[in-house]
Amino acid sequence: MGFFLGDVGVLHPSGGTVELTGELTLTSSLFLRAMVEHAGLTARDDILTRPLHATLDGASAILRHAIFGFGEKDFPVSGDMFVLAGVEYERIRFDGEAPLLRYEVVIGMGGAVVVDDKHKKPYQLIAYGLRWMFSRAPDPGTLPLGCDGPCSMPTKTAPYDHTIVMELSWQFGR
Amino acid sequence: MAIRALTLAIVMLAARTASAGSPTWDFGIAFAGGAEAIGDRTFGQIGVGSWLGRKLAPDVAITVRAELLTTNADDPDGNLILGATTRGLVGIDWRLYATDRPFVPELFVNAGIGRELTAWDRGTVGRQLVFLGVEGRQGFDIPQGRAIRGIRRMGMPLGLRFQLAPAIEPMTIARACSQCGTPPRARTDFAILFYYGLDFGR
Repeated sequence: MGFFLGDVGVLHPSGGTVELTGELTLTSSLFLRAMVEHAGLTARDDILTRPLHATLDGASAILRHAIFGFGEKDFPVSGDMFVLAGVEYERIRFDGEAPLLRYEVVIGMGGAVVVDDKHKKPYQLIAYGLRWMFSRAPDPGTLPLGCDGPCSMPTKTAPYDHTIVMELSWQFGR
Repeated sequence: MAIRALTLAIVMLAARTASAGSPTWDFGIAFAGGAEAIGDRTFGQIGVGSWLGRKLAPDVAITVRAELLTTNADDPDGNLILGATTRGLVGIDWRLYATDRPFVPELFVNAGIGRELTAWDRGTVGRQLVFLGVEGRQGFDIPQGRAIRGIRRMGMPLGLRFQLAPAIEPMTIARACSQCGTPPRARTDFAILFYYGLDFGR
């Protein structure tokens, strides 16, 4: 599960997410993670007359690389710190509007604690971290070009959206 | 010819450095905060930065850095001007003081070039920049074959960086003038950034 905070064009919705994750070990320090998530979001920007609700559904493929690990041999608790890189395809739908479909670049970092008692299967992994996601901002339509700060190029909106998700997960493996 | 010779020399130097005992690669992440002049206004900045460096010589590394910062200030009416600044930098880290003692800081000077894009809710400003900084890194070597695997050194860098970029037209508009001329324009915008984080060597 996690907390989503980010941009969708000129709106800045936030809310909680639930995620389902599966991970395949490629090498001792490289893992392929597949994830689907669903979020309930609310935007409360000044340009809105009332809070605007939205749902987000996403699917992502992410490589997780353990930059270093720790743990003693024969001790069941170990862990690592990792970085993430991948792609997410998301569908965002605001109340009464057509859905926005787009790809996002995903990067991130975090840590994992692995409990692997050789006498008990499966092993358990608790992971915590941050994901940053970047994508092109949607065209806001009829908004005029302008500069809301010192600028050399007027635009209708910021050229890209960026989002942060803080998350905690509990995984089982063998 | 000269460029080929220089490239070959750098590659050979990097290869030789890789076979030496100390870490060849260093990477990390840091929290960063500072201020930047954009036009005629100074903005506060806070965010995160990360880097990846490769040693070219015992005391010299080439490093690429990426930063994402929130950029904000109040206008004269008290309204918040809020944007996001993305920076990409490449430069040289030159170690002025080295030590084998754990937690005694090593001293570095960083210099290089880069590009930044600041995006407001509407409008963007993108420009080239040059930077010069100083950095202290406390750290310790990690014994191999023990509880921590995959890295050979861990440290905590603390740095201060100065940056210069071409100025843009000021936002301020003259409210009244009898013989109006072009408002004076600064030719260079100045920025300062302070950062503190974690550094890993492999």
